[in-house]
Amino acid sequence: MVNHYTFGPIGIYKPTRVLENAPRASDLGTNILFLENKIGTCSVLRKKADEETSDMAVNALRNLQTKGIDLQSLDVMIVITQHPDSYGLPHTSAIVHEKMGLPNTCATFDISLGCSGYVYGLAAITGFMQAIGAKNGVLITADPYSKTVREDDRNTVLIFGDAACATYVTNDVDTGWQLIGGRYGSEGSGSDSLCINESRELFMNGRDVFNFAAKRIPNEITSLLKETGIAKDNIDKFLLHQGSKYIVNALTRRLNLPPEKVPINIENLGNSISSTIPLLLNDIEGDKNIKCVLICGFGVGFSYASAILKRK
Amino acid sequence: MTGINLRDSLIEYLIEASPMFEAEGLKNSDDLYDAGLDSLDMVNFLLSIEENLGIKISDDELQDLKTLGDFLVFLESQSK
Repeated sequence: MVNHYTFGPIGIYKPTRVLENAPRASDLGTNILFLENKIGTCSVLRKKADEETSDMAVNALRNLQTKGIDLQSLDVMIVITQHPDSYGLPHTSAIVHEKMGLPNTCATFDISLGCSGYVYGLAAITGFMQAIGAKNGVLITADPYSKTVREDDRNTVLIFGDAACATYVTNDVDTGWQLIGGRYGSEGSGSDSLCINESRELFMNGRDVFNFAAKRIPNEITSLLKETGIAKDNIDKFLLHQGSKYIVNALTRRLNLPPEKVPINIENLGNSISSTIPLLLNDIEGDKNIKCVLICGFGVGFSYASAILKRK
Repeated sequence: MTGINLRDSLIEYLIEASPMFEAEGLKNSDDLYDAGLDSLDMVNFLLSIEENLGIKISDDELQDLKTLGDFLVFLESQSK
């Protein structure tokens, strides 16, 4: 089913605080070469201690404004996060609404999803906008894992980085990305494998997460291509969630994809959860030869989603 | 699967998990980590065993599996 809304431009916020992994890796008993070559993160971005999730969202929206978007025209704003301001009440999108002075006619709500959140979010926001007859919206991803990551947990602290994105959605222009079909699913049996534990700290069982992704995602992508009738060769880029360099490379091999079609951009950023895919989309924005991309998010839940975007 | 075939299969899975892994000359008594496998490759290797042989090795069981020979003995015992 063709979705008539288009996406883009994308506002980006990357915190300026950079944590180098080399000194921390040795303290945590990890080999820096393993980290750089296999995990793929030389450094990670970290928000300031007093910076809230809503502040990150605000910064992404301000960046979107510099790309010519009038935020007063927004009818809908959705924030994808599982690390909301305070304890999640009120919803972070309401706080962003206030901080940005958005119009009262702008509907806001949060969606609780992690690494699959952006792909789910594109379908959710366009479906909602269509249902209420909205013209303009924005989908924000802001999920700072630094709020719950344990500084001595080498399985997570050297991987996850903070970032936020704000994707403009409209039915008012003839440019941007258009959603062409998608597949969405869950594997709730993996809900304990990536979660916040009783101490309110992030826990990740890397083996479980890898097994889920390696077993599930190739079939999802193959099925999506079959359902949409789009040949693998006609996809210009495969924008896979940047869980780690290792998982992206493993999926590339399992799907027999040309590595040059599968970008990896986490070297000096880290895994920014639901922001990894919009960051990849932003990276290719200037290359108009890229006309068709497959996006795929997967992780916490376990939850997974893949979709095809065509440049209009 | 005979012992020789199983060994060949495990070597194949090791190379799949770690394309740079030097399998030539690997002895059954060699520690796989000392031979160049890292923790991520091990997870990938275990997944190949699960997918191809239908045997899931738990984290507890993995504690006792250090060498190719350890894996051979364990997997042969599981398939009896």
